[in-house]
Amino acid sequence: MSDDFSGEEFEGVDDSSSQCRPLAVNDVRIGTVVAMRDRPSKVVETKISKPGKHGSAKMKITSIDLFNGKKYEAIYQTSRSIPQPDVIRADYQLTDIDDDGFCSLMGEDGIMREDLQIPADDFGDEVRAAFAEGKDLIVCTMKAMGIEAIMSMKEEK
Amino acid sequence: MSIMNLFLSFQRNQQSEVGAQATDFGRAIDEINRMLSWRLSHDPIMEDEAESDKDPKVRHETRAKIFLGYTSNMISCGTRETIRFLVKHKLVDVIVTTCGGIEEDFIKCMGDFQVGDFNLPGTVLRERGQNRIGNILVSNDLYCKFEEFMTPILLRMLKEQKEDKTVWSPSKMIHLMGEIINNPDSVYYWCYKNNIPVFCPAITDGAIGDNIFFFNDQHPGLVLDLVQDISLINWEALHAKKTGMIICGGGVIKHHIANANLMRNGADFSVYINTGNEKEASDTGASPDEAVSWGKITQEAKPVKVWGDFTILFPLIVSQTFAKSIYSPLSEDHRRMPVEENKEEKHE
Repeated sequence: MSDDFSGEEFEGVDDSSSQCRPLAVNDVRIGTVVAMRDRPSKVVETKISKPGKHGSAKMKITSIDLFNGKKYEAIYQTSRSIPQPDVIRADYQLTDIDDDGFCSLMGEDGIMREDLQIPADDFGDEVRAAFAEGKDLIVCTMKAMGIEAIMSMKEEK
Repeated sequence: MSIMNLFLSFQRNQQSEVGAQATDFGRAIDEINRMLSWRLSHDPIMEDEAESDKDPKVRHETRAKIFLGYTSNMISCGTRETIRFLVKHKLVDVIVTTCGGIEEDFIKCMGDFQVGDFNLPGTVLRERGQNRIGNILVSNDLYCKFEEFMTPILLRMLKEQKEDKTVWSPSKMIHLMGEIINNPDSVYYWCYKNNIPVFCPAITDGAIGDNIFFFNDQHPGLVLDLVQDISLINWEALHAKKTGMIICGGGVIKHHIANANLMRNGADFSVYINTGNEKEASDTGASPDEAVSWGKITQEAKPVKVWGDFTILFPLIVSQTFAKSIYSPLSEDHRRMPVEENKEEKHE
């Protein structure tokens, strides 16, 4: 249905729409996380058009994709609802990075996972460099609508 | 003086002829009555005519095809009822109008417009949710109701486009809207019932366009094809044996009808009613004679322009032309049969 859904980071097999709950458009504020064009995104601007020739009141929502930074704009009737995704954040200890960028991560429960890659950009290079220096690193992940990615790192004290 | 004598005095060569626009008003009445009275049997058979057109019965029943064009203010005000009379009784054959001329007819089925004043202040009206059209007021609520009417129609159109490969055009969309409103108060309900095509090339220039814009944001992919409609209207003119144009107002609707008639080397009968001024070289203000220079009106025609407000003039003209053709025809050729009330289907 959406035009610009880029599936490149889609890793989960969950039904992404089931991880959203309806939020009244009237309750959307700057900072609210909403699903726009089937992508989880954070609202950066709202503008309301009063009722008029175009019909009932409408809100123009501008948001930024949580994962790839793309900008989305769409218009919604204020009487309707917009899907709001659940956003789950987690921290993992980074124990290894292989040549392809896949990370060995240990959760707080001691369970290992190796399905997440560091991104192939400057942030990914920073992680590699810090790991190579022998630093103890905690990576922070974010998961929404079936997409999960490593978002940031911090040094374990 | 009776109304009848008043109208008679507007006509040319009367002892009491008035002059100025009253005379042009009288000429417009005569031109439309000529438009209504013409039949193919009045003209000699031409060698290059189709065999079927040489049949005397066919010639007797073939009439001029009448194109009626009007700007949206004709629907905003009470002349909507005059137009409805014409389409209900199939007195015109093709309609061309603007987006407002389409949507306001449907909106009037959902609630009344109010007569206000030209001088009501804009800021106060905006705060109170009232939109001004001249001295007529339309509340925002009515546009919200229109949005509720349009959204399921657009959903259906998108569905049929995807599943049945329907290619929608403005005229097809208006036909569907006329079917769905299912209300005998509506002009386009009667256009749907009587298969009168309605052309609106600027279909997005109004609330319909606003609704399409918002709908497309949520459900992208709807396509409206203009190519079909320009073909249809031009073929309407080309297929006709003789054509008449009655054009109230200017802008797109005036040019669109005249241009379609260019395809057949010009309309045979023409009446313009508008307040346009030719000094600005606009098409709106252009005289019928300018259209003759383009080939949009034939050189043999006797076209008329009446300078004036059609909210006053149009109902008066219809009373002396179309209404007379039903209730007191000038001749057998002039006579038109009304659509019988008891033959209408029951509405669900």
